[in-house]
This record gives sequence, C-alpha cells and structure tokens, in this order.
Amino acid sequence: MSILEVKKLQKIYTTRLGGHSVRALENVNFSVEQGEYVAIMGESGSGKTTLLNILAALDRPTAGSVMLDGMELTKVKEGEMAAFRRKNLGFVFQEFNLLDTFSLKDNILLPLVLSQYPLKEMMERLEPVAKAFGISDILEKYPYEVSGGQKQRAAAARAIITRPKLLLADEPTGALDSKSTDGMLEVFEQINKNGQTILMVTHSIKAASHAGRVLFIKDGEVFHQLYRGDAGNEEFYQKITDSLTVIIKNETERKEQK
Amino acid sequence: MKNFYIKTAITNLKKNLKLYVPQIIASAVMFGILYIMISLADERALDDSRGGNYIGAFMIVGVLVMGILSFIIIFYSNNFLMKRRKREYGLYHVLGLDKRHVIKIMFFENVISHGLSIILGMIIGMLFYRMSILLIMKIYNMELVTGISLISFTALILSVLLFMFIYLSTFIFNCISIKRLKTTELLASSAYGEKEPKVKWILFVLGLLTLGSGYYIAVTIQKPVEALAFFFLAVILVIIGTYFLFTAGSIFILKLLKKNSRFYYKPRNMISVSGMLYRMKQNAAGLASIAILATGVLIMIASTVTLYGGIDKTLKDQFPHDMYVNMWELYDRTEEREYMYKGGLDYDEMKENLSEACNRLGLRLTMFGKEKTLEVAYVRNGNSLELFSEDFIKDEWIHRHFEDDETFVITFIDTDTYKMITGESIELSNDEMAFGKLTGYAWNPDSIRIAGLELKNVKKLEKTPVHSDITEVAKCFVMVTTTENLEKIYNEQSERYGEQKSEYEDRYFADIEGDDAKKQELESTLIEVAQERETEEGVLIRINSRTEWEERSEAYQLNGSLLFLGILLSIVCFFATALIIYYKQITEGYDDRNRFQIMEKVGLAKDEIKRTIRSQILMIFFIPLLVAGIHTLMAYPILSKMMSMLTTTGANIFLICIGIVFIIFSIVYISIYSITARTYYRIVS
Repeated sequence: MSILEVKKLQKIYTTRLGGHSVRALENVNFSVEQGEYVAIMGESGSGKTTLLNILAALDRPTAGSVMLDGMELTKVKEGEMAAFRRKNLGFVFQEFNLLDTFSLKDNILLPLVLSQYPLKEMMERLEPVAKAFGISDILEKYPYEVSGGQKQRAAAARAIITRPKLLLADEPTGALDSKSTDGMLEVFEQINKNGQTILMVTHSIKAASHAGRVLFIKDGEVFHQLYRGDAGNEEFYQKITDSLTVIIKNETERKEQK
Repeated sequence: MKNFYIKTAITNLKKNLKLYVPQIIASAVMFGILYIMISLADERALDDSRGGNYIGAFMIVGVLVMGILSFIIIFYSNNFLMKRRKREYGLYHVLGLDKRHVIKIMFFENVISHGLSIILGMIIGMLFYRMSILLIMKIYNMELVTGISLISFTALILSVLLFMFIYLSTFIFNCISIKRLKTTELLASSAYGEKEPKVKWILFVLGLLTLGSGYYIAVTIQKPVEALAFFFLAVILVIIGTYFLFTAGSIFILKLLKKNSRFYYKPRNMISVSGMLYRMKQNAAGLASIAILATGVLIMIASTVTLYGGIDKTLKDQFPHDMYVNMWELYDRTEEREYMYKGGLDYDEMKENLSEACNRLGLRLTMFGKEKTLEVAYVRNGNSLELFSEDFIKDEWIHRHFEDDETFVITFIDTDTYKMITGESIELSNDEMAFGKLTGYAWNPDSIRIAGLELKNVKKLEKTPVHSDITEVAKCFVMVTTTENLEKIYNEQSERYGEQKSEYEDRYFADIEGDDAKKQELESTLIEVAQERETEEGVLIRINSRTEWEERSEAYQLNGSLLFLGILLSIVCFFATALIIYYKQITEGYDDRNRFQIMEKVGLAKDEIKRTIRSQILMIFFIPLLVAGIHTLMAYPILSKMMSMLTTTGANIFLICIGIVFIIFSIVYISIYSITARTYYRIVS
C-alpha cells in the first residue's frame, strides 16, 4: 500500500512582477510504499528542495496532487496545516534546527508538547527513542554543549517521537563529519527496519546507498530510479555511481548533439 | 580622504536611521529640558516676582537630577548602538580600514547625530521656555510676568558643556571598545549558544534583603520627621533590591517553574518559560530601569499633584480666620536705639487701627476678635494627660520629645474665646469639655483626666477653631473648657515646668474681604496707621502677623514649583522609558527571529507563534509596570507621613491620586508599548 503518492506535480515560481517564471518542478510522479526507505538524488537546482518543501507542506504546488496516506495534502486548510504537519510528518534538517534555549530533552519533546500529550506518555515515548539514538546520557545537555552528530541524533529523535507516517530528511548528513555520518545513517537504517517510512533528499551517494530505492531528479522531473534489490550497501553504492555516470554522460552527449 | 569618512558616516546613519532617530529625539528632549531648567534658574524677570526664588531653587535641584539622568540614559543608548553596530565596524576593519580609520568614521557619525540632538534640543528648549513660564504662572495663580528673556546664554553654554562632556565620555568609551575588538570575534555569527543562566544566590538573597528592608522602612515608619530622614535610604534600598531581584529573582522563579514538569510541558508555558529565562538574563537591568523610572514618575506626579491640589483645604484648616495679628509698642528710652518693650495694643486700639487700614485700602473688615490660648505638652497615659517628668524638664531640648509617640500637645481655649472665634456659644460645666484634632492624628476619647480633673467630652469638634501651623511633628489637639478649669490647668503646668512653663497667648484675628493685591499691602498700612495714631514721642510699632493670603501665595509657589519640577522630570522619565522599551523590542526581535523560524518548521502554526510572542512580550514589558505599581503602593505609607507635614489633605485622597496617576500612566505605557511592538513584529515575521 502506498503511503505517499505524488502525481503530475508542478511548481512554477514567478517573480513578483509576473515577468519571469521559473519551472522548479515540471511533472513529478512517484509513490512511496509503507515502510520504504527512499532517497531522492539530484544536483543543486534540480528541484529537490522544492519537492521536499511541498511534501513537507511548507510550500504549495502550482498543479498536481500529493496524497499522504489517502489524504490530499494540497487540500489541507492553512489553519490546520501546522497540526497536520505535527501529526503526520517528521523532519530532519541539514542544520539540525535545534533550539538553543532548550535542553536536548526539551527539544525532542517539543512536538509532543505542542500536540499537548499527557506528561506520562511523553516520558514513556522519550525513553526508548533516546536509547535507540544513543543519547540517553546527554538529554539534559544543551545543543551548544554537544557534537554535531549528537545534535543530529537529537533532531532525528525529535522527528520520530511523534511516530509520523513519513519521515522527511533534508541532507541529514550534510553538516556531519564522516564518522558521525556513518552513525547517523545506521540510525536511519535502524528506524527504517522498525517500520518507519523515510524519504531522504541528498546529493551524497553514501547516504543514498543506505536507502532501499533511489530516485534521480533532474530539471524538475523524476529521471530515473534504482532499486536496491538484494544488493549490499557497497554494491548499491556502485550501482548509484554508475547511474550518475550514465546520466552525466547522456547529458554531455546531448549537449554535443546540439 | 576626509570626505570619505564623512560620506561613510552619513550613509551609515541613514542605514541605521531606525536606531538613531529615537536616540536623537530622546537626547534632544533632555537637552531642551535641561536648557529650560537652567534658564528658569537664571531668569531675571522671575526675580522681581515673589516666588521666583522657589522655582530657581527647585530648578537647581532639577538640573542636578537631569545631569545624572542624561548621563545614564545617553550611555545606555550609546552602548545599545555600539553592540548593534560592532559587526559593521568589524567588517570595515576586515575590508582594510585601520581601527584608527574606523574610529574616524565613528567620530563623524557621533558628531553628526549628537550635533543634531543639540540643535534640536536648543529649538525645543527655546520654543517651550515661554510656555513653561506661562505654565508656572498658571500654576502659581499669578499674573504673567513681563520681560521674559528670549535666550539665556548661560543656559545655552552650560547645557552644551554638559552634553559635550557626556558625549565625549561615550566617545572615549567607544574608542576603547573598538580598540579592544577582535575582528574574528566580530564576524563570527552571534549564534553561539548562550549558557543557560544560573541563579545567582548571593544577588538573590541581597536583593530580597535590600528590597525587604526598603519596604519595611517605608511601611513601618510612623513619625513624619523620621520619614523624611529615612525616605532616601528606603529609595536607595528599593532601587538596589529591584536591580538584584530582576537579575537573580526572576531566574530563580523561572527555574522553579521549569522544574515543575506538569506546568512546564505545556505548549505556551514551555516556550515562554525557556524564552523568558534567556530574556531575563539579557534584559534584567533594562527592565529594572524601566520599573524604577516608572515608579519615579508615579510617585512624583501623584505626590506633587496631591500637595498642589490640597492647598485650598490645607489653608482652610490652618486658617479658621483670614488674619492673625499682634502689635506692640517699643519705647526708645536712651535714644541709643535700645528699644524696650512697652506693651501690646489693646482690643479697641487694634480694632480701630485695622478698620482704618482697611478703609484706606478699600478692603472690608467683616470680623474681628481676640483669642486667648494656652498650649501645653503632655504625655498621654490611657485617657489621662500627664505632665512631663522632672528628667524631661531638665532636658534642655525638651522640644525633641515632641516627636515621641505619646507626646500630645494641647491648645486650650475657654468658652468665651470659643464663642468669639466661631460665633457659636457653647455651654460647659466644670466637668465638661469639647475636644478636636489639629493634625492628621485622630484621638477623641469620651473623657480625659487632666490636672486632677475628670472632664467629659460633650462635643467632638469637627472644624478646627484655632489657627495652627499644620506640621505633624507633634500630635496636636484643641480643648475647649471653662475659664475656671483653664486656670487650674495653667497652674498645674506652671508649678511643674517652672521657667519652661507655657504662657497664655493673646492674639487678634480678623476676616477681611476685598482685592487680593490690596491685601498684600495691609500689613504695612497697618503699621503706618498705628504709627500715625501714636501720640507719644519715640514709640515704635512692631507687628507680627500671619495671613491666609500670604500663606496662600507662598503655598502656591512652593507646591507649584514642586509640581512643575515633577512634570519636567516625568517628561524625561517618560522619554527614557520609551527609548529603553524601543531598544528592547529591537533586541528581542532579532533574538527571537531564528527561534520562531525553527518552531515553525517543527510544527507550530503562524498564529500560534504570534500568540506566544504576544504573551511573552506582554509579560516582559508588563512586569516593570506591575513592579512600579507595587513599589508605589509600598511607598504610599512613608510618603503620606511625609506629606502630613505639608498638607492636611487626607491620606486616602493621596491614595486615590496615586490610583488615577497609575491608570493614566498605564495607558501611556501601553501605547508606548504597542507602538514599539510593531517594530518587533516587523523584525520577527
């Protein structure tokens, strides 16, 4: 069963005076199954950030539809948007976006607090999540007191503590060193194994190679996709690299033909 | 090259107009008021009119206060601007300008903005100077004086010198901080996590102690003279306490709230409490200043308005009749100007002189009489009044015991005097009396034991029949009794007190109607008349009088000058408060922008964010108002004690006045807040 279905998605930005228009998304179609781990790859300017913003309900598409678990995202009213986001979506950002004024614990609990969960349930949820992310010992610390990797773990913990239908990750390893990146990707794999659907936008092959499927997006369209199948991480890494090489080659040839 | 610096300075000022305009306006207003104060102290036209001395003296006090206030406020705004602009200066440094050159740019910026302040201040000062004299004359209830000077150069020079001094100090301060700057520090984003504030226990405890003792003094002090002495101590304690508690106490409370999980983990509470923790750390001093300035305004306006508004009632209580006068003759025996007391004028002489003097001035004498009073100090013991013990009497400074709690000073009059004064006759037997208070202190028992008599109180006097100076230094009362009893009372005290005994005092009183200006001449005319009627050679007439009209113009000038000073200082405090609030809003805005962007991403709706912002900002800005209210309420007891020496206006009228002033102030404060809040919202969203 698809948890996310994107159909004929289009986003056109027009400058304020209406003169110039930029097609960020041309015609995007794809779907994500329950429990899948999908990576979206693309160069800067390929439209992947726009896509993520629309999926995150931070931005509205010009045309097309996004169905999340049978609900039409574009039809959610503005006033209910924040609550909808809180209930159905989890986010991990490149720059962590933790609040300096909160301890890690409070940062993780923030979405639950906003949804007004009872105190008991909040604490019950916090414990296993913190344990799974290996941050139980530093919960009382403040973001500026811990490392980047630890910050990102806290951010991921915050994203999944609401048990969202879909976890959206925007370059989650972009600001991490390689060791922290490995740790982070393991965490993602782990939570995916536990049944969490993940959609990750990245341009890191390494990050993408941990996913179950990779979508390549270019010029506002889904250009190509790769399934992991039975391949291991290294093998899949190779496959992704090959595809990227092919894509670049095609592009060069096309340019030469012109 | 010089052009470059000036141009850069101008562009910088234009770019930061939002920051500089409020500072320029606030300094200009302070300059203007300082100019007005010095000009008033210097005004020749006022010297000729009576009361000029008062305004001059008060303005000198005002200038001192203004000098200190201007220094603090200008330094505050300078530091704020410096903090905001450090990055900019750092950038110049990175782009290749020496610190020397950066300082040059800053120098021109300062010259331009401060120059504008001073010019604007001069305009404000000169424009409003005439108006303030008009206002003072209106407050004094007097005709407008002529020959007001257009410009006071003394004031101009002094004000400019003072402000130059303040500006130079800030400039030196800025140079030092630029010299100390490390460029890397400057350019590093300010996103460094700030440590969560810790409760500073020493400050917290000290704050509690100082505020507590300030409040304790204010609330418990009983004697007016002590109130006067301790008031400033209480003020200083409360100021220190306010600063300490705003810094340490607020964090203590917020931490307590945070520890309470059930309270803390609620959407609005969580965001507010954690936000407030950081805000209080940065804003404690600013908020404490707002609270203190606000308290200052409230107290100044409420008490000066009460004093001023109470003049008429006070005079009425003080002067049952318009004029109290004694005249006597001195006789020069030796022709060497050694005058000897010859004797007082008797009833008929006095009356004839007075009606003649009134005739000459076109005034009407509507009442004339003579009162005979005896004033004796007692120690109260239950319902009996006992004379001072031997020890007391030996004490050379017997008057200092007048302030003791149980010292009661009684003015005795007999039934004849009572009838003469009030026009009403009163029938008293030898075991009866009538009793009333002369000051704010109320005591009116059913019977009093005195001089071996047990007198029943048959009539509680509502209106004060005798003239008194209403200083509430001692507790003063009036007793009407029979002539026979009065004699017994006189004898008792004269036996005990010996040389220090009280004597009967005769005094003539009169009611006079007519033109106020003519009344002012009555005393001198009276001497003239008496002198003319004197037949014997070498006799000089002396006079001692207290009149309602002189007291009135004196009171209007004294209390009016106080009121005017209160108004001027309140205007300054108002602008200072507005400036601090405005700068706070800007700082808050920039601090919060990132925070709220993140919250939006985590799933907080825009209008939820707005609501939280509003409640937080409201809390932050209304705490000072609340504190000012509490401070004022606590100051009320000590202030009303002090004021009891100056006015007979009841303490409850003062309280009502405080209430009204507080409401008006709150409205003004809220409007300052809502105007400046727009800046905040613009930054955040």
